[in-house]
Amino acid sequence: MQIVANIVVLTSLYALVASGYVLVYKVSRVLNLAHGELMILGAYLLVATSAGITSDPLIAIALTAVFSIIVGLSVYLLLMREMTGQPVLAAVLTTVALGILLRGAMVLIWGPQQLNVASMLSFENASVVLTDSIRVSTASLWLVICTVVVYLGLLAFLHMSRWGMRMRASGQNPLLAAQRGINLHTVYALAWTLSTFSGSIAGVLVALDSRLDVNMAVIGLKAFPAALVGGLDSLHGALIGAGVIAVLEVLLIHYVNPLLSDVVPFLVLIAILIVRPWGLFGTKEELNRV
Amino acid sequence: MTDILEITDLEVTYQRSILALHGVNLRVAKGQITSLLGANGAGKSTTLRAISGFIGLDNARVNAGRVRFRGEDITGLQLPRTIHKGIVLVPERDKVFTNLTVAENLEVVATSREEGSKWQQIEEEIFVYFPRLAKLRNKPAGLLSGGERQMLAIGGALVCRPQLLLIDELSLGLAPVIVDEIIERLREVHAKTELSMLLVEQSAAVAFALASYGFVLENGKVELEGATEDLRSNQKVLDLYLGTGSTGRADYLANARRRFEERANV
Ligand SMILES: Nc1ncnc2c1ncn2[C@@H]1O[C@H](COP(=O)(O)OP(=O)(O)OP(=O)(O)O)[C@@H](O)[C@H]1O
Ligand SMILES: [Mg+2]
Repeated sequence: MQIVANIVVLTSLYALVASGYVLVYKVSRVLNLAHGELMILGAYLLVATSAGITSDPLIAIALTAVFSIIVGLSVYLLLMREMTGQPVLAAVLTTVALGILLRGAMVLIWGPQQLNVASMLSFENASVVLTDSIRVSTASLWLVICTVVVYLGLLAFLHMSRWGMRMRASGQNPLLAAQRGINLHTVYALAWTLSTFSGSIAGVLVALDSRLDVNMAVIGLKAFPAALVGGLDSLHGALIGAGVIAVLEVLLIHYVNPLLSDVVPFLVLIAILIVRPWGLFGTKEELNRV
Repeated sequence: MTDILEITDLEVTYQRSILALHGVNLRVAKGQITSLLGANGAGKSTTLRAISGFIGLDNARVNAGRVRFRGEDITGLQLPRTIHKGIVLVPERDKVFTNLTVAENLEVVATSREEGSKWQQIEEEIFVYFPRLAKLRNKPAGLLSGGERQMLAIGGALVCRPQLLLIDELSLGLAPVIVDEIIERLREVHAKTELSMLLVEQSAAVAFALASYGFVLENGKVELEGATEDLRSNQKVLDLYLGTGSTGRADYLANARRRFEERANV
């Protein structure tokens, strides 16, 4: 039974990170390859906040959330805004450059060593006994809760609010959106902000659960196949994609070899690209095939 | 009668070199429907886009000439400013959000003044004009027929509360019955709101059915203009755009060919 709990936790992690890819892609057709770095930047912001501003963990996390929103907004306004109207490839390459720069900057500022964020915040990551045979860490439990809340919130926002509708519309037909008076810059800024926000939540919770170093940006890369398996422009697709990858990863670690963990997502990625390149729930014409 | 829109000597280039309009002059009288006829590639869409605003992706530019709207110079004004002025375009292609439902397509439109409760009222207003849409309310727009899409696109444009409605290719690719229905609906809209419209058409029959005045565009220039009754009796227009005369079309093709060769020789 423990294995089921592990799958649920890992699914939540991948799904939460994947939602960030989906949001930006759905709205602007840009693949944000700096998402992993933005995610752990969220965790480093928590480190900075707790060291520099407040030692109260809850206030520190709340401030981190605010900062992550500022980061997301800045990334769009200072960098990606210039890419509007440029070929998508240019925008994607910009995100690659951004990722590399962020990684370098984070090493320079916080050093290459592992940080124990939980102890810095005096957050006790006790394991929670759910039943006799199932235990999960407190941070993992929060991860699952946050993922559920973020997904419900995003789905409600995209389908019920006027601005959510505008985000979906702009992704499908940006020219018409502009012709109907929708401000594309506002829509894109919103997508980047929400994406960075949900990514930062994931970063913070992962850092609280284990330790933090720059190489954890690779989680972003591992969650990417989850987004792609579901179809890059579909939120519930990302959820299911995350489930598929988590199941395979946990089972293979458990029954075959723990070393497989890092390759599983990419094996699934390759398989899905061959069989169904638009993903399980994506829009068929979304991917331009080579 | 005052003109709501006045275009003088408008020149537009694509990619800084391809001249699409060379000196277009046209006017839209306030409260009237004006038509703009022309063959493929004449520059009709370019004219409409120059009025409603290009976006960066178009790589298009107004080189010379003026666009005046309600007496104000709006040459080169970009989206979404043109919308705020009250100029709304129903584009030729991709005119609805296919992943949104019919109701969402109307609702998504940005009207800062009318957010909130007044919304229902506006939606109902559109459904009164286009009852067919009311039944399709919750259907994704991607599943609509061409005629239904055109109605939805016009509905979406009307939600923007235009002062001037630009419609690119009203009848293109639609069955005659549907075209008749849309013409009828537009007449109702016009009778009720006196909305000024500029209607781009390749079919003179449709243009004449709605418009009181018309312009004929050829190779980026207005070749002919006049009241609908006058155009109706103009042999050249009949030949070219009503498909009545074969000599006219042959003439036209020979002309186009000569122009093409001239250009190639430069
Ligand atoms: N994006 C573009 N880049 C370069 N040239 C363009 C572009 N769009 C249009 N043109 C050229 O400008 C000229 C006018 O095109 P426009 O689309 O305005 O014609 P149209 O009258 O609307 O034709 P149609 O009836 O086919 O829609 C054409 O010669 C066309 O090739
Ligand atoms: Mg056209």
